[in-house]
Amino acid sequence: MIALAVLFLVQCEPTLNERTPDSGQADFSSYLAVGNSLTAGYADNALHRDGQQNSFPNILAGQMMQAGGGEFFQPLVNPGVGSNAAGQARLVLNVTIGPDGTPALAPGPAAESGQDIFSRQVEGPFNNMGIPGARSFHLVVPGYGNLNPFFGRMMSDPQATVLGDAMMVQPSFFTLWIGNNDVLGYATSGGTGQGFAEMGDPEAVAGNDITPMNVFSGSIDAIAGTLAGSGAQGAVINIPDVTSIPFFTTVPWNGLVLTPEQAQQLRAGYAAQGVPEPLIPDFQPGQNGFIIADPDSPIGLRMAQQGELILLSVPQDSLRQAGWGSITPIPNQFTLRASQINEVQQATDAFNAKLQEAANAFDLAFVDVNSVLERARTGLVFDGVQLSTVFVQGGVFSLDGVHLTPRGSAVVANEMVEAINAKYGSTLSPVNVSAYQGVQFP
Amino acid sequence: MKKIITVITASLLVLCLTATAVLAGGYQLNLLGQRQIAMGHTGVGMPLDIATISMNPGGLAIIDHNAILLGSSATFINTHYRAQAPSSYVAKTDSPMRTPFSIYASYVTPVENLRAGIGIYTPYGNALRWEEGWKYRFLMQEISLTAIFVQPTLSYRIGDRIGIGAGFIFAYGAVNVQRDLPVDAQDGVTPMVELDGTTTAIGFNVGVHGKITDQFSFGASYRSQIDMEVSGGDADFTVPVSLSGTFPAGNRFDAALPLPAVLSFGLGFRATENLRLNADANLTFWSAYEDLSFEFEQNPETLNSVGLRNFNDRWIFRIGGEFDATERLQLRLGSYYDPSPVDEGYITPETPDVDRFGITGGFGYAFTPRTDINATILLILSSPREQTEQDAIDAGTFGTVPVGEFVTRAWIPGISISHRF
Repeated sequence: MIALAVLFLVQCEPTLNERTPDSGQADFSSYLAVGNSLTAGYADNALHRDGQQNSFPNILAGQMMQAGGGEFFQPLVNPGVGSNAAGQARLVLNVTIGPDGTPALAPGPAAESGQDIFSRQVEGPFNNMGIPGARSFHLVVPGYGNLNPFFGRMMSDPQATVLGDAMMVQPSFFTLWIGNNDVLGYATSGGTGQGFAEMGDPEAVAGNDITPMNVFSGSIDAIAGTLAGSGAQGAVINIPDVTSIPFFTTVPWNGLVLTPEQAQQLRAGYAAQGVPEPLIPDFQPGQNGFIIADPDSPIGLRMAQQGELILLSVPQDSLRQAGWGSITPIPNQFTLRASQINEVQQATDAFNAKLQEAANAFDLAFVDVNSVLERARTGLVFDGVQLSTVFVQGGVFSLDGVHLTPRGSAVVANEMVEAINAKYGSTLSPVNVSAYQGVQFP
Repeated sequence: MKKIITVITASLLVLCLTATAVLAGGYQLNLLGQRQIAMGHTGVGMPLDIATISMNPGGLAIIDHNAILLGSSATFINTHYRAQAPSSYVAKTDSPMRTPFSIYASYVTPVENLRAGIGIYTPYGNALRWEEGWKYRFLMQEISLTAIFVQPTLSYRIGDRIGIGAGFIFAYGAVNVQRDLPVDAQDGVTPMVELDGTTTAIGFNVGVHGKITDQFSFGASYRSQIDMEVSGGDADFTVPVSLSGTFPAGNRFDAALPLPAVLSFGLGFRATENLRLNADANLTFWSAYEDLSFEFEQNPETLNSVGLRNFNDRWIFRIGGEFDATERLQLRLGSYYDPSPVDEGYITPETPDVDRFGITGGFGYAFTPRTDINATILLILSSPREQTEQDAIDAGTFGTVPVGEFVTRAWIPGISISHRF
């Protein structure tokens, strides 16, 4: 009887067998990721090895390997604190003691200066061609490596283009996530550059400008055309709205909290400076909009309105101690006023429409990351973990408020898996979001 | 007998093609006596030994000797999880073996027709450990639930045919739950929480046994619900220093877990002098388990949680038989059907519950007319069960329960020794 029982046990193995992902009509044998910092795995305001290893393309490539995917080479930096273009180390969360003596958590550099990631040239070709800082048209500019050290460290030749180097891996499949910097340069600088324009010259586009539509369109057509023209399949990813990004949403527009006396004193202060009564900001007890600079106002300043954005780059000490936002207006480069937000959103919508059009034109999968992050604003749950676009706690965005955490990259990679499976009939497996880290606490 | 074994063997093999094994409806154990387990865990209607103290206190009245009975099972349970398609993710449990036990002693009192007894047994319990870092580590990593009932019992025979009995239950409970916290630490240590508590509670167990004819007997018993209320259990958080405000050290928690009431009926049939057959049915009042909430002493705003469980009352149906092969050797077989009290949408990592089909067998051997041993094997079979995202959304549990398929296999050998004097 017991011998029989043992026999049954051997035969009664659980029936839940592991699924084997299939490539369907897709060919993942040579996967190429083209894009900017989001593709590179840039995070916490620097390119560092942890971020690279958790880049969404690296995660996606790992899943493709289960379905015929090949090796995925990244231009890895040495382990360390990484560096941004200005030579600063990645941000980490530190415990700081505030002016009133209470401890607080704040991001700060992990080291006095960044690691030297630029002096040593790495040899390609690389499957991850994410170049931090790159705009759409940069990918096709010869000699771009001389302008951008992140490409400079990995270019095949001083006159190389990003796209040309990318094509050296002879992609069978690609992801293209570009266009963020075409808007973000303007947005993160507080709208201090040129707004959205239909026509313009790529030579004349400065760092704080929104890329003109004709330049963006032409670049996307050229890039997608080259990538898909080789016969490769792929996916095009759209760009998120600024209101999904904690860099723009963390500091509240109405964070000026006043007692009745303070409100009274501020009004009196502006009156004493000779500001005419109707133009004196309407300070009230309780929450008030911060005072922001506005060149369109007769007195050069006004109270922020609901929907306007104060950027994460605003010096917190100045807000707390130097009277910024109340006595002194918050300077232009730290705010996005309604009209500037309008420029950004017009550009985002137009660029996303173009990206979708390119996906359709070249018969590629389209990944609507914008709407995923839109949904994440109110919170998403994966594997029992709650995610949101809230700064630090939300778990999706890293400490620079713009780039993804490993967990955020996992969410994005899973969206790509879903879109690729739908387009190509493949059965790539999503990853477990719970296996990836959010912001690390000290 | 050989023929019966062959038939059962064939049916087991058929089952193995489509099904696999699991243990325990909810967190009920039903391992109250080895002789009874071998007969499909029947015996409410036919008190074959003093394990009737827990199964039907009324049956003790017709046992005409003093006895002690010591028994224990060993649980070997493996649960597998597979994530929703197209995920290639699978996870397994690495659950520790547990040894649910039962100890009984009976005494024929000097008062005519009055029997006394005591039972110490473990009617509920759970031990589940998922592989480290599994997909739902934030919901549950490991659970251990132990309930030990101590039940002094009196049983009285009315006339020749009826026995009634009642026991007072003193229950001891211990629970330990560990899960990872959804935050990350710079020092690389995985933040987690361990909840640990013990408690005691009281209840009762009553039963009646009757002889209808020389061949037929019946029994009914009711064991009351016992609420294990942990008050001031230890909540140990392993978290980065900067989060110790949110997850304070030395925190305490309150939680309550019902051990549901069970109503049992049994019918015994002495087919021949050598063959005894039983049919039992148990109704477990699982609907008492509506939610599992944890209330914390410090930072309750953030830490308190309520998990919906919404179990349903469920009947278990059992049959079993015992055949005297020789004067010393008894062979036993049994089977039962134990449908899950948990609906889709409420399946949690601590009770990945499925409909169970149990097959049991065993033997008893009398070394002397007074001393015998019983050996048992219990196989629990089930089909894989899937909980979809839609199930969770419909139940209002989305985000707090796993989505995917579960299957469990279990084999539970057991042994007991009894001595009569």
